[in-house]
Amino acid sequence: MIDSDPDAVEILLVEDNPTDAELTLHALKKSKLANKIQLARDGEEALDFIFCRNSFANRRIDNGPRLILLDLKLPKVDGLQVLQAIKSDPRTQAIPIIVLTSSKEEQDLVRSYRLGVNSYIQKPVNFAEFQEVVRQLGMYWLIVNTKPPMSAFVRR
Amino acid sequence: MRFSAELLATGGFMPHGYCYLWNMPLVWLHVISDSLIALAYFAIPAILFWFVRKRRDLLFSWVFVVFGAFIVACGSTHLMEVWNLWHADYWLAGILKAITAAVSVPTAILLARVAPQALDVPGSAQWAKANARLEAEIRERRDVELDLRTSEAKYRDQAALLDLTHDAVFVRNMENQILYWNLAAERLYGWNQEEARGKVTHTLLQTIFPQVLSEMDSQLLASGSWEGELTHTRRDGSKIIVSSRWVLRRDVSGRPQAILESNRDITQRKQEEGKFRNLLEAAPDAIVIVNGSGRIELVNAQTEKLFGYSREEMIGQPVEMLIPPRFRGQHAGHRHGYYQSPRPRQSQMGAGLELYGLGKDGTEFPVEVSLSPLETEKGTLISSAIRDVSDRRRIEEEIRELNSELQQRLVQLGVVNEELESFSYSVSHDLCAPLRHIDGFARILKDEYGKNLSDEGKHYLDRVLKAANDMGRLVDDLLNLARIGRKEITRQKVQLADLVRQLISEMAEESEGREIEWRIEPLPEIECDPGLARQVLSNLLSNAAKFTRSRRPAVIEIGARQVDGAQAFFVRDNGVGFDAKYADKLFGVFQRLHRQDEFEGTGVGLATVRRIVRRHGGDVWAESEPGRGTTFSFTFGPQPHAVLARTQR
Repeated sequence: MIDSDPDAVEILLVEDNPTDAELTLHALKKSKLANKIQLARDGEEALDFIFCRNSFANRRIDNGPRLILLDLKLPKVDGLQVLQAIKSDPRTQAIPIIVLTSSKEEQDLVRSYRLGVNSYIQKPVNFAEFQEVVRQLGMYWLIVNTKPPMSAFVRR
Repeated sequence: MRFSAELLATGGFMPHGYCYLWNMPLVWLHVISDSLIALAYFAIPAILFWFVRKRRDLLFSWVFVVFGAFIVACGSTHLMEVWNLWHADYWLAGILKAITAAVSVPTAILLARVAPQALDVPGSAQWAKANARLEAEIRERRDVELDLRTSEAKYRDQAALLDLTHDAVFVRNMENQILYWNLAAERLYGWNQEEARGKVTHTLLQTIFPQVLSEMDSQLLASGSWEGELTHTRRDGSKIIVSSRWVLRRDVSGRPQAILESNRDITQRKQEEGKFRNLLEAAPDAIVIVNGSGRIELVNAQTEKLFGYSREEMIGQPVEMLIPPRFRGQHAGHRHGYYQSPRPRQSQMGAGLELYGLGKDGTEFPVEVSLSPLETEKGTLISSAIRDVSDRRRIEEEIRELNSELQQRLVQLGVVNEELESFSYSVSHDLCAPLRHIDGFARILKDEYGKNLSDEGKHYLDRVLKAANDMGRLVDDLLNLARIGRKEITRQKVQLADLVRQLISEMAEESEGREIEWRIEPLPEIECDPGLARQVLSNLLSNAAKFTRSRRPAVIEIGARQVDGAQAFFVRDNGVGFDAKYADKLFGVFQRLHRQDEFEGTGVGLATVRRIVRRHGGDVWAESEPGRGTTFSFTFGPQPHAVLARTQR
């Protein structure tokens, strides 16, 4: 079972800002929810990881993360493009994606949901609140929520 | 006695028969002749006497008397002749002859004296001639009389007929004295026939002639008639204009006898014509009236001004003279087409086409032409109003230029807007990130390493956290304000009272422990953007709650009223208030009237309120006095449906 793969990445965090990344990772670790977190520093890297390209070519596509935390404002390929690529590919579209952004722009919300985002979370300025939000979303998506079955991931 | 006896005595003489020797035939010849003469001589005076008695008017009647006496005397001498044939009374005969002489001599003398006078008395032949002449004359007169009577009857009939006409008709002789005056003349001028008859027309009517009277008269004599317009003064002093027609009447011999004048009152028509002309002249457009054959009948002053031709140069000319040559052919065609179905054209002639006029100096200018048919006694005319639209074209051009400039500005604005949007995007994203970082690491520091810090250190760390927090809120408020500027307003019906109650319950937590008396008056339904209305009320209510913090109880009143015909709402508090002289600063961004340590705030709330109501077309204002509370009033601008509902009712 791929499920029991100890190397399996539980969360892919797509975040270009290292400070944000550090704070998010800190919050996640504090919640003691995820052991294996993969960090991608831009959209391209995220897509390489998901679709097993370039430096991630030896990964198996069906060994995807259980959850993707996606920032929208990213260099090279932005978050919405990443979202679209993953959600429009039958092999990856079942992966739950949570947009975690500082943007309150209505347009971002609208486009994200239209592209099939599973959740949209606006980062609170207050770290305590942020920590709480991260704890809740980890709890929900990794524990409360029933993950998609393998058959949800169509092989090519 | 002796003498008479002697007279009667024969005296010894022998009867006269002796002289005839008693030759009996001779005697009887004398007897009979003398007897007959005597008889005649006695008869004649009797007849004369009778004649004189009968003819009283007889001239020299006494001559007849004297003559009669003389003849009687003569007769008696003849009788005496007979007597003396057998008697010899010669004395008596002599005496008788003496008497006869006495009578006849004066008679002769008298006749001699009367004869020259009597010569003057016409003779019977002359009488006969005179009589014949008289009779002829009488006949003639009778004929004339008859003629007169028939023609009088005829004239009466004609006059009666003339009374039927509405035209004033009168006949005047060559001295212009009125002979006849019909009923219409009486009605028109105010004098009746009796009053007018014999008067000199031009004096009576104070005629004003269009030309010298002698010219008119010579025309009348030459052609037998004259026509024209005259001005007359009526009995009541008012002036009228008449269309006048004079006809000369000649007698049998061809001598001018009388003038028949027929006048029609055209005052009103002239006034209307005058008005029409005034209207024509006062029209702002050049007006050209064209007849069926395309020739110009009438133009106004504007036409002269616009095209540069004088009236005389245009009238009678084809209207195409005012059109550039290249359009003339097609214009004539259009003109014929228009005559087939003449209708007023509200829209411009040749709608969508550029029309041009041609001035006398050869310049062309853009025009707009509107046409309308004109029914006149001359048939259908076409009136065209021509407007020089050079100025308008120029203005249109300017407007076009301005528009394209505006378009460019809009594009630029769009660019600026996009920049602003990306700016606010980066504010919300990039500016918030460091804040989150400050807050995040400060909190980690405090939570995980707090035990290593002194109280002072912890205090500073708290200040860092608070500063980050404040800035976060400020950035949020500013972004919100910016977003309102871009946001589309979607009006719907909103029950403000419901919204107020909802907001108050949401504020319950922060007003915990405070004594606030909320007074909510009935609020009418309003059309506005519900999300933004919520922001307005939320800002104003929390403002009121904030500035009444020191009041026990705090009284916050929410109500509605009409201000200048608009539906206004107000939020009134009994808070600290502010000095009215700072009222203009109240709604500016970052403008604060209280110190931060008195009342916290970003100074963006009221600016947000103002931006929201203004985007609705409304406004917000405040009335306050320090220490006596503040009233914020606002409107949400025109209420299209509410107004509509009111007018329908």
